[in-house]
Amino acid sequence: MNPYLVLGITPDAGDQAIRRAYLEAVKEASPDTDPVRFRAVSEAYEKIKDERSRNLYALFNRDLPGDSPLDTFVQFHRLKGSPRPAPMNVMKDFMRKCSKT
Amino acid sequence: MGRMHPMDAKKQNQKAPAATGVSDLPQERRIQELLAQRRWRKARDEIKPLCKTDRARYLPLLITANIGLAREMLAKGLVSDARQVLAYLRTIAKPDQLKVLELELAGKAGDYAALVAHSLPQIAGESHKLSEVEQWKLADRLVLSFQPIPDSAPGAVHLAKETAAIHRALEAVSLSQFDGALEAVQPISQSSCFRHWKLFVKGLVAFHRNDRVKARRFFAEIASDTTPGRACQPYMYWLHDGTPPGSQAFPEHAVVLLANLAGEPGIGRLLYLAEFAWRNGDPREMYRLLRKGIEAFPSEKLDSIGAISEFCLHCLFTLPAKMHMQYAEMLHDLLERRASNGSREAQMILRVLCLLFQSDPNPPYLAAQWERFLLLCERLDGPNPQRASLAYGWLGEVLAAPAREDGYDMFPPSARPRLLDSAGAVRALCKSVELDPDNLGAHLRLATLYEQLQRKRERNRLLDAMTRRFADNKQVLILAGERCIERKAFSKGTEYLERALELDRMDPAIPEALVTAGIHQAREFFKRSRADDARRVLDRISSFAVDRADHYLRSRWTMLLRRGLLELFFGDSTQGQALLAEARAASPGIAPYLLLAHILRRLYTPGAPPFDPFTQELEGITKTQADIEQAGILLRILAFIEHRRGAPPLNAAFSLARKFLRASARRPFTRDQARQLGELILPHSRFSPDFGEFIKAILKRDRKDPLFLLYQYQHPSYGAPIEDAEQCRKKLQSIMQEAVRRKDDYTITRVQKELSRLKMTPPDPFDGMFDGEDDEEDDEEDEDEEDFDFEDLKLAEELLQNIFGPMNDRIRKRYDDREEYRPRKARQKKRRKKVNQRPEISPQAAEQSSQPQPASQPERGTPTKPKPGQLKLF
Repeated sequence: MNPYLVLGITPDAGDQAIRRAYLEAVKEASPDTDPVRFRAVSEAYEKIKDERSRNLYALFNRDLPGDSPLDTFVQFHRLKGSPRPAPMNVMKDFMRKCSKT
Repeated sequence: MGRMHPMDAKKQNQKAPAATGVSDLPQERRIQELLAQRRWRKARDEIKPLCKTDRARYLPLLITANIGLAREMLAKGLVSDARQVLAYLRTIAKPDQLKVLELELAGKAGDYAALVAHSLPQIAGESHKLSEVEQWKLADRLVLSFQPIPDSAPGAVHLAKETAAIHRALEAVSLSQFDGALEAVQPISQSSCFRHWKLFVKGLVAFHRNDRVKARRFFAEIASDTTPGRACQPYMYWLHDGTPPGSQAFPEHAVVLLANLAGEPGIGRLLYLAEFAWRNGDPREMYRLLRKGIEAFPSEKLDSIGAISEFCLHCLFTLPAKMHMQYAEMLHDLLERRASNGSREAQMILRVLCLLFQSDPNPPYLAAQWERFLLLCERLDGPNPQRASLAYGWLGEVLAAPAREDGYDMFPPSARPRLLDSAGAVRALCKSVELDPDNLGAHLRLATLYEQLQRKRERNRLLDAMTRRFADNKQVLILAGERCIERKAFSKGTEYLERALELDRMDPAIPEALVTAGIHQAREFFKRSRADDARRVLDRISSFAVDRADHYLRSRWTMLLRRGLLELFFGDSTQGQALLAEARAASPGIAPYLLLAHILRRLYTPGAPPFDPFTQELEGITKTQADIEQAGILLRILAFIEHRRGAPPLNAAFSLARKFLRASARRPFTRDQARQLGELILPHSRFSPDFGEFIKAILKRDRKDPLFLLYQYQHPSYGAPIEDAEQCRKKLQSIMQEAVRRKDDYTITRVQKELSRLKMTPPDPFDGMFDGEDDEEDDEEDEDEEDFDFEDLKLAEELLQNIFGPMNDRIRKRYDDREEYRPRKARQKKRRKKVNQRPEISPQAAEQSSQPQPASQPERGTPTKPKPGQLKLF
């Protein structure tokens, strides 16, 4: 996944801001409490920790952000924040269609 | 009811519809078959005329066929057609027979009032007769009506209340009033037929409150064949971090819901279509759809469109070859037709296409496209010399890769390697260095390239510049130091190496380089009759001597030997003799001392005849004092020297070592000594025939020794060759049994490896491989070619050689003939495959490899393997 998204920073963030975001993320997800998240955060930080890394990432990044367009979309929003409840008419339509399948 | 007369009963039986039984009449049998095959329409058409002749007999069959047809239509979503069939059914069937069908039709048509009208009396009045699943289904209908349930029917009051509570709860969830939602479902009991809806609501609340564990638990408790059980699937998918979706795609309404949850309702349908195209293996359609449907696509922004854009372009790197070529062609067309959605799309496409084709590039085209990409980067994002320098560094690295073999060379290989585009590589790397003078990776790669191209002057100039710019970089200092020594700039070279040593005293490569440089410098001083200077240098490097006798560069005895020989040949011979005597005494054996002395003599006095006093003495002791321990040391010395730069011709040394080895086989030795020697020898085919004597001797003592039987098996020249794979397997299994019996783990591991190699039973490399060569026009040929693999032929040949020994002349000729007349397309394919197999140069890896690496810290005094391009003298 996009390292900027993992660390919750904008692509124009500088070294200091990235480091701060990394330390905060690591504080929240230490290797003991959440090893998966910790690994993701550490990998993300390595990719963009300084200008050279950021340039290399911009030029040569080949990571797939998901397994399919939908998966990419959902993974992006999973990282972005809490999902919003769907409006009632959408829910109604969705559940009725579920009953027919 | 009165009893029926037997004759009447017989008549009745004859007339009874044979809905399930097998009839004697052929027409009826045919109808039964059609019904059993669910070919409802055909069955109906065939029953209709029969029904006219005997209505009582065939009407039930007609009803069955029509009901089946209506159901089939409903399953296909043909609601109005099903309604027509139902209307016809109402004219021929009793209402009771159509209840279920009418309910199904109402469900499909969204006629929830009808559903409620049907369901309510059942669930309210006869719930005790219904199974739990049937109750759930009826409850689902009540909820999905999303209308007030009439509570006038007996027993319907609590149903109406609970349905209303579910409606209120769902409404509250959609308004983010989660407490209200929980409050609404609170009164629904665990025994209620709405309890799965209660769980669903609780799951939704937990989901939106980000309580993933609870949400998962509630959703997991819902029965999967209920509406909430199906409705919770997209929510579950959202919760499963990092879990890839199943092979089955989500239906459109689920994708639309996910888009709504993400706060981007507008993208739902498009996302569904793109997902569908992707899962159907059509990435081109996926890209086209997204490009047409989203104005901002593709984007580099940190939003969902950016993420999807990244997926759509990066998937190129993971698609199967055929698919990625088609997709890449489409993207390339977009570029060439200037049809891209602005410069950003062109920039993004150019980047991935260049990265994609780096493994098999057309150098001028790749360079032009990459520069086009960089121009667009500059135009869109402003100048960024650092990034441009890295980009040019990558281009240089790609162009400096070895050129692929295009067939047999008419001329012998030259000393200079053939590179893809050496001039282009130099140009790109120079540009990289110019754009960012601090780009160490590009400097180092350029220095290596100059070295490869034998452009020593440019290389030296570059190294000088590098030592000024990267004065504190160990890697640069070692490289510059070694190259200075090579061009006999000893003081400068030694200075660089000493600076490197100051930076890292633990790196064994630096003292090794200093010792090598010192010996080289001393030899030059001796040659110029500056014996005192030479001795000063030798004194200086003697501080790097180590106590380990098996370090053939820095051990005391080898340093004494080198110094003694230099004195003997170029300085004070008396002093030389004394030093040699000292070295001899300190050496681990006379034979190693004599062999190394012989090799060094050949190095220091290249014109001298190959045989000398050391050789003579070694030959002399071979007959009388040969032993297995010393033989092992001789082999290690040869292995050490063989790979060093500037090694003298070693044929005579190898011949001496082999004689010594054979002689030591006739002297007493232990099994453990023989095993150690075997591990040393067997990887080197040069000495493997000489090990046969040791194997024979060990097997004479213990004919079931599993390890030595394995050695014998691995080298058929030691024993009788084994004929086929089955025999090989049997032989290995018998060795394994013996090893297991003796609890010999060492041998067990080795036999397991051999057995796993044997699992690929070698095919006949020629059978069927060249069939159908002439069918080049056949459309299916390409498909077949995908599976056709000449590498398999090579592999098979290797395996056969392992089993049967080298190919005999007849087979060799047959193989060569095949090779020569191999179809042109297949030859090209093989070349393509080779190119594809070439490891890709990851820019990051390339950068890292050319970057100063954190010093590996082997034990101090451990000999290091010479790196390519690293100067190693004696």
